[in-house]
Order: sequence, then structure tokens, then C-alpha cells
Amino acid sequence: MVTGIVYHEKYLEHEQSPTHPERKERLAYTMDQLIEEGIFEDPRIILLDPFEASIEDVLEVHTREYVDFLRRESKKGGFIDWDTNIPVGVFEIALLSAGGALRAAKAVMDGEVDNCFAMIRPPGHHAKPYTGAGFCYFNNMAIMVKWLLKNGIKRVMILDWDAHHGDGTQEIFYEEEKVLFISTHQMPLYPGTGFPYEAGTGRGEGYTINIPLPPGTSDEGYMMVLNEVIKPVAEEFEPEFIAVSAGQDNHFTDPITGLALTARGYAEIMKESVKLSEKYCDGRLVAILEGGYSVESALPYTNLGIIAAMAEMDISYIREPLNYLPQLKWRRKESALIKLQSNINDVIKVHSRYWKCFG
Amino acid sequence: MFIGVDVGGTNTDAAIIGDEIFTLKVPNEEGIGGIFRKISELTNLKEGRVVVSTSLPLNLLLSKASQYPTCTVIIPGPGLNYEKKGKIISGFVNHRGDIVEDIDVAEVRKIFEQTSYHNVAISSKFSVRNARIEDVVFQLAKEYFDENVIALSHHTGGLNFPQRISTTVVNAKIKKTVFELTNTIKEFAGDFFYYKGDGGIIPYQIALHNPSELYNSSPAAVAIGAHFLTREKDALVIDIGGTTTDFVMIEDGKPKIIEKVEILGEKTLVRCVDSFSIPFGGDSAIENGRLLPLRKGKPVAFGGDNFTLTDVLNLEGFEIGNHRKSIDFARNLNINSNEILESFVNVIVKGIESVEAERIILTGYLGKFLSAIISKKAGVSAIVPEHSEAVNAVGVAISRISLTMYARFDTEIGRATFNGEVEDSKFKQGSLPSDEEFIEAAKDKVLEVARTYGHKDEESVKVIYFNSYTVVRGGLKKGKIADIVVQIEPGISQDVKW
Repeated sequence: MVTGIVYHEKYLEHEQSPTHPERKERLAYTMDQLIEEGIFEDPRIILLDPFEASIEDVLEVHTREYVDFLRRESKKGGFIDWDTNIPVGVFEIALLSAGGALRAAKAVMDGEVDNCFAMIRPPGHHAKPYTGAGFCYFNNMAIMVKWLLKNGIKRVMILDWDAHHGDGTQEIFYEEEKVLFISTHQMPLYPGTGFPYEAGTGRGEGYTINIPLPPGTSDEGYMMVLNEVIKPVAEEFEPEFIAVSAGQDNHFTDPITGLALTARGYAEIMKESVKLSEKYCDGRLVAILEGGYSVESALPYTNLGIIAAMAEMDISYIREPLNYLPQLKWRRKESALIKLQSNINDVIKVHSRYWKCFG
Repeated sequence: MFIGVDVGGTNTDAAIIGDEIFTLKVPNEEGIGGIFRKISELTNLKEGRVVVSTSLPLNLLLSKASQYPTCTVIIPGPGLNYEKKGKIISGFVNHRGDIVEDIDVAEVRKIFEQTSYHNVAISSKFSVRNARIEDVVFQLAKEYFDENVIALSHHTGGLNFPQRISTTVVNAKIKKTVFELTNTIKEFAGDFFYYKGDGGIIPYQIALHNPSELYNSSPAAVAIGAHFLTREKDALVIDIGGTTTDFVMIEDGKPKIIEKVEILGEKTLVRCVDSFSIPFGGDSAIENGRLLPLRKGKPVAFGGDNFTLTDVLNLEGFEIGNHRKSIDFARNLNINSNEILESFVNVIVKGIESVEAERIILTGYLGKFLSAIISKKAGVSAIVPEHSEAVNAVGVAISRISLTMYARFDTEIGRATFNGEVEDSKFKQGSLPSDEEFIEAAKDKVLEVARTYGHKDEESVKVIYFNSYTVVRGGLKKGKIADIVVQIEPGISQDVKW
């Protein structure tokens, strides 16, 4: 197994403001951990340089008006919403971020690597066709998936594990039957969407699956969702490509969310995803970094866990340092499992119309 | 006075450089003590700056590595699985350099109680950010092992835990040999320096912590010496020694360096000159009319009783050593000297062609005899420097101190770490120094260390790596972190006249 990592030092340059949660040192601690673990010199890992996405590829997802607006504002600095400034020069870095996702997809499609992790910034899954939002400018995932569909892939399964609902990605593929969009996200939380009844429309009806997670959902809860919803649907959908929006703000130390996933849990769900990709898609899988704001406590361990699981390394030592465990005890809620089971039942009820596995 | 000593495979070369250059060659059979006694007959070693290059004994030792089993103790904490690399114990230093998990003393003792090991390598993750855990395990190890067989990973360089582990294992295996060698040399020379594989020199005290830095030092010395003696900036240096012939490229006046050299089948943090060798030299034996890739003893021309490549050259009309003895010895042998010489020259030419060299510098004791033939055959211009038979020793003598410093400043917690050793930072806790201030502080530190060993050059510190970022908590800037690698680059000492 050879896993690609798309990364560029320029991804560290983007900064909305020095104290914004999505700030440049988000990856600095992670890079320390990866370098210390010798990841970039492991024969199972290939470091890939991204390129800037072409405007043509971006326009497959975003409106020309928005692209022109972002380009113009990025020259002098501007503003999209309270969470999302337009710092000078963000246009080029956003293109490099989207291009990072494309680079990952191409590397997998060309057989350069078996699967690939696009460790890119800024993130993308809140970006809609006509606007950026929630720290996102271009929807990296959607740009990549559109490219895959244009290049011979017939069915893509998106697993969006960011703690926040991937409203941008959902909106872009809401009427698309070739893209199965599955999102697990904390509810209630920004952006406030992602209810089970949001299930797609038109040809896309049934191809959007939202599984809200109560605060305090732990590794066990994620495995429940995986076993009861994701795996059966994957078997029926038979994806040719799996694309993971690998947000890491579901970690129990994340300062702006309330979920309780651990680094090991993260590695385990990635391991299961890799298994799914091997079963249905000849191993074709790309994970794209989205959110994740516990820059020091979680990201070094979760990113390592993702990469280790993707490259089929031993993940038995993936964990956080023991001094974080009191925080996990506090964050993890047993009651969340009961609420989650009820949410899963709602999802199955909505989707039993579309999927035989839930019938 | 600059004194350089290079212990090769067959002979030891020495150069004494003052207003003039004086060189000498001593056979290794006289031992390190014998060699230094000879040199001290010519000059007062304790008044000069003595530099020693000794990669060969280390290379020989490493070829017998399995005879020196290492107890590899690994303190990885969370992350990848290192069970295959050694014995895992508890304890963890995180990426910030904080000790967040303690070691279990009973667990450590249990490992050391097994006495089948020759030496100990102790490696903790992120030890270059805080070596405290390694130091604690070291104290325990000393109760069971001699201090001189215990190596710690924070001395080996920067981030890359798997490579620090493998470098520490190499260090553990060779540390005792280097320690004993050091004591012998100290008896004659007092304080002295070792020559590194990248062409710089380090005080013996530092080499004892990280002896793998001496790896492949002879080719580095040849390259630096050849540049010094010829002023050539771009050329292939070919050093025809007794046992091997070494090839090293110099580019823009410096030997080409390779990083992360593989030793004992594992990538290490060792950097050294990019050289390659062929197993033939002046002492290579001739048997059944063929040149063999091995040394059986001294050439006949130098009082030995083995016919060698050197003796072949004497049959071809050269006058090396007692050339008549070579000719007499060959009378009863059926030797086609021309054919043997040509086969040797052809291998050299192949080496030249493999790196597409346009100019060569020939050194070693056969260099001057073979330059015309090789130059013609390879179609390249050749230079033979003065003192060509001891260019390596000249290179050793004239190089300057080269130190690498891994500095980290963390102003949120007011800590500075230099090569794993934690100190109070000169920057106030919570301060936000500029990048320039961080770089200056790192440069000052490496110069401060170098000056204690006699380094005088002010302008030669190079920044190899720099990264800094702000620590933000609760939306407020609480400090800055900077990682800096600075290096006094290898080069020629400013005190040497040239």
C-alpha cells in the first residue's frame, strides 16, 4: 500500500487573522509529529506537490460571479461573513487548496498511489456555488468529485466526518444520483442544517444521508453509525471512489465542538473506510482535511492516525497522551448513544424508501 | 601549527602545517600510539591544533556489528509502533517538549538486568525538544553498564525518531572504540578535534556523544585537501590509496554531501560526503596474473613479500620505492604488467565517466605516477597537487570547526532548548520576538559553543531551517514558538594561510 500526502508550505501561509481558529499553525504541530515519526521518509508514503486548480475546474462548482468577486476582494482584503474574512492573497491559496484535492484524485486515478490524503488549507465543505462560508472559500471536495465524474468515475461516495454539517457539499450534489453524500455531524451546531429529512431531491433523492450526532458521541457511536448506516448503504451503492471530508473537529479536545472521538477512533474509522474502498473501489480513496481546531492536543495524533490507517500501518499505538484522558471522561456521554440510536432510527426511517438495506 | 592525521586502511598520513607543509606516512601496524609518537618527534603536538580522521576503524567495527549486540530502549509514547526496533518502555515527551507521561523505573531496571548486551541505545520521541527522559534512563543504565557504551538519541540531531533510533544504535556500538581511541590520542595531543564525514571538525568531547559523525571522513578530507592545494572549485578527486581508490566530487569548492546515510541497513541522521570507492589500490594483490580486490600485505617495493599493483607499475618503468626489488621478484612470475595496469586504469576511467567529470585531481601515493595515463585514457584534464600522497592529511589539518545546533524557543513557557538541553530562555515568558531576534539568538548560541573550542570566524553561521508560529489560547496570543537549525558550515579555517 502506498499512500500519497498532498502538502505544501504555502498551506501554512493562509491566515484570516492571527487569533482565528482556522489559523496557520493548525498544521504546524501536526507537521512536527509527522516529521518526528519519519512519515515523509517511510517507503509507504509519497509526498505530492499540489498545483493550483484551473478556473475551469472551479467553475464546475462555483458561479463565475463568486469566483470574480473572490479574486477581486482577495487583492485588497475583504469579508464574506463573520467567520470568514478574505485576507489578501487568499484566492491563490484557495486555488492551491482545491488543486491539492485534484492532485490527490489524479494521483489515485493514475495509480501513482493507492490512496491519498490531501492535507490542505483552507477547508472547503461549507463553500456553496455562489459564496464561501464557515472558513471555506472553494469547495475542494466538490471540485474534486466533479473532476472524478468527468474522468470516468460513475459513482462517488462522500463521507463527511467533520463535526459541522457539510452544507456546501450537500447543496452542490443535492440533485445528483451519482454522488452519495453521507454526513455525520454534531447537532445542534453551525451551520444548523443536516437533519435526516434532508435527503436529496429530484434525481438525487435518497443520495443525501444526514446522521446528526448528539454532543458527547464517542468512538463507539461512530462505529455504530458505520455499521448500521454507512456499510449497508455502501454495499448497495457500490461506489467506484470514496472521498472523505476528514474534518477533525470531532476530537474530544476540540475547543469549538462537543463530540468525543479519539485519535484511535479516528484511525479505526479510517481503517474501515479503507476496507470499504478495497471492497468496492480497488482501494481508490481520497481524504481531504476540513476543520479541526484542537491544533496542539488533537491534530498531531488524529492526522497521524488517518495517515497510518490509510497506509495500513499498525495503529495500535495511536492515541493521545494520557494527560488528556480526564478531558475525554468529561466530554464523552453515555447518554449520547441512546440519542444517537434514535437519530439512526430516524435516518433509516427516512431512507427505507430509497435503500433496500433499510427496508 | 595545524596538525592533521588521517588513519586510512593501510597507512596513516599526517600533515604538519605552519609556514610550510610537511607530510609523513606511517604504516598502521605501528598502532595509534606509534603513529603519534612519530609525529611528536617532529612537532610539539600539544602546542598545535590536532585534528584526527578515523573513519576506517569505525567502518571495520560496523562490518562486525552483530558481535556488539545493542540493548535498544525506546520511549515512543503515542504514535506509530516501534516494537520491532527495540524494547518499548513507558514515558512520553510531547511535541512541545513537555514530559506528559513518566517512565516506570522498575520496567527500565528489568530490561537492564539482562546482561547479554554489549551496549545501550536510549531514544525518546522528541528528545531534541527535551532530553530529560533520556537522561533519567541513562542514569539507571549506568548502574548496569559502563558509561562509554551508552548512547542517547538527543545528541544525534533533529526530528526523525526512526532515524534517531538507528543513529543512536550505531553510536552505541562504536562509542567505546572512539572513547579508547580518544584517550590514546589525548595522551599525546591533549585536547584535539575529530574530522567529520562532511568535512568539518568537532571537539572530541562532542564526537564522543555522536561518534557516527566520523563516518566516511577520509574521502571528505581528501576533497577539502585537494581543493585547498589546487584551488580547483569543480573537479572529481580520485584518491588512490593502499586498499581502495575513492572518488569524491567537489562542486564550487565544496565536497558534495549526502544526507541520511544508510548504515547497518537503516537510514540514519549521518551526513557525509558523497563518495564511491573501488576495491583496488596500490597494495592490491596480483595473483595468477590478475589484479585482486584485496590486500595481502605490503608491496615488494616496500619490503613486503606480496606482488601488488605498485610492483606492476615498477615493471612498467616507474620507480616507486625499491623498484629493482619489484623487477627481481617478477622474474619468475609470468606477469603481463601492461594488461594489469590497463585493467586498473579502465576501472578508474569508468568511475570518471559515471559522474561525467571533465577535470580530475589525482591524489594518493600512486596519483602522480598514473595521472598521465588516466588523463589520456579518460580524455580529461588531470592535476596532481603538491603533497599528493598526503592530501587527506592536509585536508584534515586545515578544516574549521563545524557545529550544527537545533534550537527551539517557546516563549509561552519561557523555554529554550539547544540540542535537547533545556535552558531558561533569554526571551521573556509571553513575549513575541521577531523572526530575526530568534535567528540571532540561535546564531549567538552556536557561536558561543564554538568559541569555547577556539572557533573565531564570525560570519560563517548558516540558517538551515527556520519555522515560527504564534501560540494562541482563548483568542489571545500567548507566545511564540520558533524552530531553528543553524550550522557553522564545514570549510577551511580562516587562520590557515592560502
